[in-house]
Amino acid sequence: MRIKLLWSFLLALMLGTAAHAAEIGPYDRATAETDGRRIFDIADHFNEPEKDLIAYTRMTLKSGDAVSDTRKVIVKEITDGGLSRILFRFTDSLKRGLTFLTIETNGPTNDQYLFVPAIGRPRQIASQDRQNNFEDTDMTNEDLGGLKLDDYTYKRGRDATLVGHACYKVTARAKATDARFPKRTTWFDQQTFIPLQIKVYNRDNKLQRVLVTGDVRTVGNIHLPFKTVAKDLIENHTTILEIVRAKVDSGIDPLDFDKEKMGAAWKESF
Amino acid sequence: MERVVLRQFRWMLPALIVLTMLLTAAGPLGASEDPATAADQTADAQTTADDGDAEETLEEDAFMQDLLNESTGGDVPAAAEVDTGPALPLSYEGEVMGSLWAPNDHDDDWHTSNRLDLKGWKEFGALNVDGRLRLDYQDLEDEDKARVDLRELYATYQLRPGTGGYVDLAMGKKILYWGKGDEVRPLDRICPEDLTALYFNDINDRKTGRVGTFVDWQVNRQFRFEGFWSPVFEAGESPELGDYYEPSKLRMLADAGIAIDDADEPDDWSSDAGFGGRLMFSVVKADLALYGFQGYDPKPTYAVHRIGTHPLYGLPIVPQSVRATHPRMTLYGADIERAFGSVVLRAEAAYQSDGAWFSLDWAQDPTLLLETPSGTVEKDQLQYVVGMDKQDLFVHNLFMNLQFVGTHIFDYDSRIIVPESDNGVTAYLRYSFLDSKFEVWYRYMILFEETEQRHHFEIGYKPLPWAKVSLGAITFDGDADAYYFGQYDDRDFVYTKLKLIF
Repeated sequence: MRIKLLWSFLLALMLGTAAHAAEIGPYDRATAETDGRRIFDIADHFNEPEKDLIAYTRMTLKSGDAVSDTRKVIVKEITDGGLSRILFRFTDSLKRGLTFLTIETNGPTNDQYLFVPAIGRPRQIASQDRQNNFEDTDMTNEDLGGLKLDDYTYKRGRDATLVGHACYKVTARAKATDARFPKRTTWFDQQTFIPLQIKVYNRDNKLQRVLVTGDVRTVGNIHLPFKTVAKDLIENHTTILEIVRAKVDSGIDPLDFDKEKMGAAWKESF
Repeated sequence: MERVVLRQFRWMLPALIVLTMLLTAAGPLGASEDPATAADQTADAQTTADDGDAEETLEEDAFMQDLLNESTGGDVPAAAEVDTGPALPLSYEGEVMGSLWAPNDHDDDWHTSNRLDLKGWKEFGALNVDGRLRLDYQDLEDEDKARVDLRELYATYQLRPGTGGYVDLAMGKKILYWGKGDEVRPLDRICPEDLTALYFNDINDRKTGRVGTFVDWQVNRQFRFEGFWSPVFEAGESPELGDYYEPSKLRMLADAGIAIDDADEPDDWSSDAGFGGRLMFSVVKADLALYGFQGYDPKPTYAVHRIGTHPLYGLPIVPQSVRATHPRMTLYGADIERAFGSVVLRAEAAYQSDGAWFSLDWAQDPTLLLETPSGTVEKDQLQYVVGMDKQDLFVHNLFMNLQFVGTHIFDYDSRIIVPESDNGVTAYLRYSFLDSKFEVWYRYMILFEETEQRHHFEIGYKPLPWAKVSLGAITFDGDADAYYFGQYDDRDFVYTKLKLIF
């Protein structure tokens, strides 16, 4: 899956027009599989900034009902030649400087790197670890941009309404037999293609993770959900991401997105 | 007879079941179909389905709202209230680290190593200025020392032509990070290191920058080139006589009456102090880089400086002093990193064709100084690291790194003290839990030739997002005459550490 869908799964930062909604017809069981894939394809291509996107985000980690940690996060995305690169950096606390880079490729997997300041060099992330949780969060490396559309098969379900929004409901199943999370069901807002809810099931077909988005605002011509909550129901652990500020096409330096620059200081802060 | 009836019944039973199902589905037995009744039944079914859907929708809505209403805690300010502007015109961040080392067999004193690191950066249009300053105080050397080290201060000008990629031109003092090994990086020899606390601090924390000009050219998405020219030489800080980590060989020479003269360092400023570059590219998901460097070695090599004449034989075989030298070295190398399945493999190799000088055993056989008055010979040397990483080994957040390390001297001279080849293994395990409030790690290294080992264990607790307290221990093992860890066999110690960030 293209990296743009990162915003769907992590921050659900997506553009919104109704134009593409018309391309999806009413639910038809006979075309459920092709429709499901098509909805994901549209969502993937639907919401990309012309040049770049930056979001200043506050992350709250909760263990049960107790807040266990808070961190500031800056997320940057750049689009170049139809391919995206996304940076995710903790900017405070003892995790400061830890940076995660996803480089979208045309190949079967995207490239992902983790930079830990104490190690001082970027480290590749094994593609088989893409369903592992990122640091202490309830999001996986896959959620952070490692997802490839071709890794899944899709089936559209009957359309549903979620908090007043008409949604496409699509279930994706991993082709890999050893996937940690073989199934996920997504509710896409039919107007904006923002995934309002994602339910992720484990190998025992038990609902383990839920991601929901809300507080959608308009930034430039982009609709951004300013709140995303990811919860691991089994671990009873929650990750809350709140966008403090976001900018579109502000002219981010392309060199920031090179793995060898992952340790460099950023002019952006908050 | 009974068996025949049963056999017939075996066929009859399924037939009866199928017939019953058909009749039930067609309606009451013998009754004609009433269209109104059928329509009512359909409507009822639809109503039931709609009610079910509505109920499901309500449940989904409630579930989603509950999640979106998750509290971020009373002590967490609302996102909108967070100050989004920098408080100062200069962006900065800092870190304070203090440590206390318990007494051990080597001495009965407590020791301490402390530092304050400041990092600042500022953008002036297309020009960026970055700086890194360290103040440190430690009593690990002959005398307690407080130092100030401007580790980095450089200005970067960004060239962004429409074609030809992106170029950053920098001038000033800058730290370079070469190689892909974990802590052991044969290629990472460009910048001076502070080894007075040996390996207590990680390699990146031990380094200081090189003064020069730097070019960083990203040709396209696949190729990138970094080059530098440094007209300034700065030697690293190495343990000396009287220091906590004084080299045992140096102590033996001093005890034998051989003086340690001032180091023979190149001129501070010279046009050939150092230059090099690396070309980075990717091939079939593998990240590769080729390296080249020529310049003075920041790490010292000890050589005989003054020689006296033997009173009986009249031969110049009496060493009177040694001194540290910094020979010119030529270094070529390459590294590679690639993920295979759930592990990431990496390798790094450095071939030194000039400037690798090795001590001869002239302490045992002074006549060696007749042919080689410096007591050292130059040989080509290969150093390498092959290793693997595994994230989430067995459990989430358990990281493991294993490396095989080695060195080989070409055209070996049997008079050299160190072996022709030496191999070893390094291991690093790190586990964090409770949202990284606790972190435990263990680093191990063994060199097979002399069975020298170093263990480093630390457990840390983070009571606040900006504070961490740790308790750790370092032990050395090996022959006391050995060159690396064995000589510090009596310097095992326990320490506590406090780290604050701002």
